[in-house]
Amino acid sequence: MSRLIEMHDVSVTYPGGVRALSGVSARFSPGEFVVIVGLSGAGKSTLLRTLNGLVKPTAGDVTLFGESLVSSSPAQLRRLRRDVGMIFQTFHVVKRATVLHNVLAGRVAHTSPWRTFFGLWSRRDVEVAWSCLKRVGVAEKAYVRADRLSGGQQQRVGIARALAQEPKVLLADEPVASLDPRTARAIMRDLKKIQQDEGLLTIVNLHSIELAHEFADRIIGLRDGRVVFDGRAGDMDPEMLAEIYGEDGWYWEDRVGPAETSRGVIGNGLGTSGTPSPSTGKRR
Amino acid sequence: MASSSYTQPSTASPLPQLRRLKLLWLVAGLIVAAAYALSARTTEFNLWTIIRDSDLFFQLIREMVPATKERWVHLLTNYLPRLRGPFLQTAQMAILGTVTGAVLSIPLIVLSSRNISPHPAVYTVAKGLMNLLRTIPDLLYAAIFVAAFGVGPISGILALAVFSTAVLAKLTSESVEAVDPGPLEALRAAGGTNLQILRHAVVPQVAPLFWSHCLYVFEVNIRASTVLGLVGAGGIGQQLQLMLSLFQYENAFVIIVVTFLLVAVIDGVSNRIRERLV
Repeated sequence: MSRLIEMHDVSVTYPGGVRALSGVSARFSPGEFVVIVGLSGAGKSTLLRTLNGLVKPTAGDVTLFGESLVSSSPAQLRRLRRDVGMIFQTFHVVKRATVLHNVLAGRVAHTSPWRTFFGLWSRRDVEVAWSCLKRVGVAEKAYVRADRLSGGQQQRVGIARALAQEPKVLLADEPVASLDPRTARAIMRDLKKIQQDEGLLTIVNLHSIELAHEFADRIIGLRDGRVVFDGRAGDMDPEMLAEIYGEDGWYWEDRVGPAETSRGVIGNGLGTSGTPSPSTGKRR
Repeated sequence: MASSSYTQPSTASPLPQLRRLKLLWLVAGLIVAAAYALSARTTEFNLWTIIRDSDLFFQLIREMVPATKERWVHLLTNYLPRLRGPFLQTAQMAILGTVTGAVLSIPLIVLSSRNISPHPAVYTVAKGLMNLLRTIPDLLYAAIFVAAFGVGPISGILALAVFSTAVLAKLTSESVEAVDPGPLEALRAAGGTNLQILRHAVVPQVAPLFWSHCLYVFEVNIRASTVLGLVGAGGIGQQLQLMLSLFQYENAFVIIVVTFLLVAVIDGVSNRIRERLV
């Protein structure tokens, strides 16, 4: 199957009348690294959560592996979610539990509820959990309580938990927003490497346009719950950024100084590099 | 708009409000004084007569505290060993009451925590039941169970169990409602069932608090079970009641002192463990 996920005209209106998504359609294929960018409140988190059914669309539908999420029974939904790993901004690890237990929790949908209830994980569950921990480099912390770890390490535990699901899709909701810039980049590199090794469809929410350009194959820009850009990272231009972030929210020169661009760190993603001028006409 | 109301001079002076506040305090004070006077008159409670007749109290104390060394030796060698049984029974009542309460509280905790309760209606009913159970003091439960099941420790254990259930459910459901919701979302996203979410996201966060609450309830139950005997629900309290009614004040004194020491030691140990748990 060439399409793992399809969104058909998805709208989400929360109780209370807040419209988070308006008629979003998109398709996601295996092996893509997609970054969704947009301001806070643009609907990024909601979009990501419609993809695994944590948020139900109020209109439209999402098909995951060819099955409709809207018409799925709770049991079907759990079955579908098993193949979708998710990583969160604030890690969502159980702080009082050990690292290994946190990662084992990613195996819940692979093991019968009664076995997991008594903590009777299968040999395979433990092996998978252990190899995932090794993969993100925190295996030596397996028996340490999660709250003893640094933010970056906790996020790696979160990634290991998602990988323990042996997923086909990885969703990451602002995975680096709570981390310092250096750790953030390291985590993004880890995600990219995992995506490349496994050919895993990876969809990441980011508010940092710099990181988006550095890592994305494809960028989706959201503004006020609508898709305003969907294309290759290289096709993103300053006008588009102004569209996504608002004209007075995006300052070309402030965000990407000439020195940065000439080093080519961010510039190569922005078409003509080293031209900090276009936005002067935009800002007022 | 906002600026116009801001610049508008305030027409109301703060003085009348201040005067009203003073009047309120005065009225409240008068009501309390009147209620006190009325209650004192009907119950013939008078602080002055109590102070005047306080020698009656000290008289009792003098009768309770053994005066001579021989009496002390006699009490410690002859009476104290006979208290082993009743004290053991008190401890057993507290243990059985606490453990039974802990087991019974678990379903009530799940149903009466807003964030994990299966349905808002179930939540409302469970919370209501919990609060109702908790409004009745343990001594009253004991009196009711003694009336129903007769004199003896069974009634005391039942009273402690019901009271422990209510207190544990109350304390722990508050802990459950305060858990970090993040792991719950993570487990749901991983395809977990509600039971799995409960077991792997809620339980690890709450378990240390639950054990701590259990120890606290055990402390309370030890203290309560020393008193339950007064209404005939077994344990050391029943022995104390007996000695007081037989005017065996020296024996009663030994019971009170040992109870005090035992409760102090158990509280101390339990506090130490609870500090390490959380």
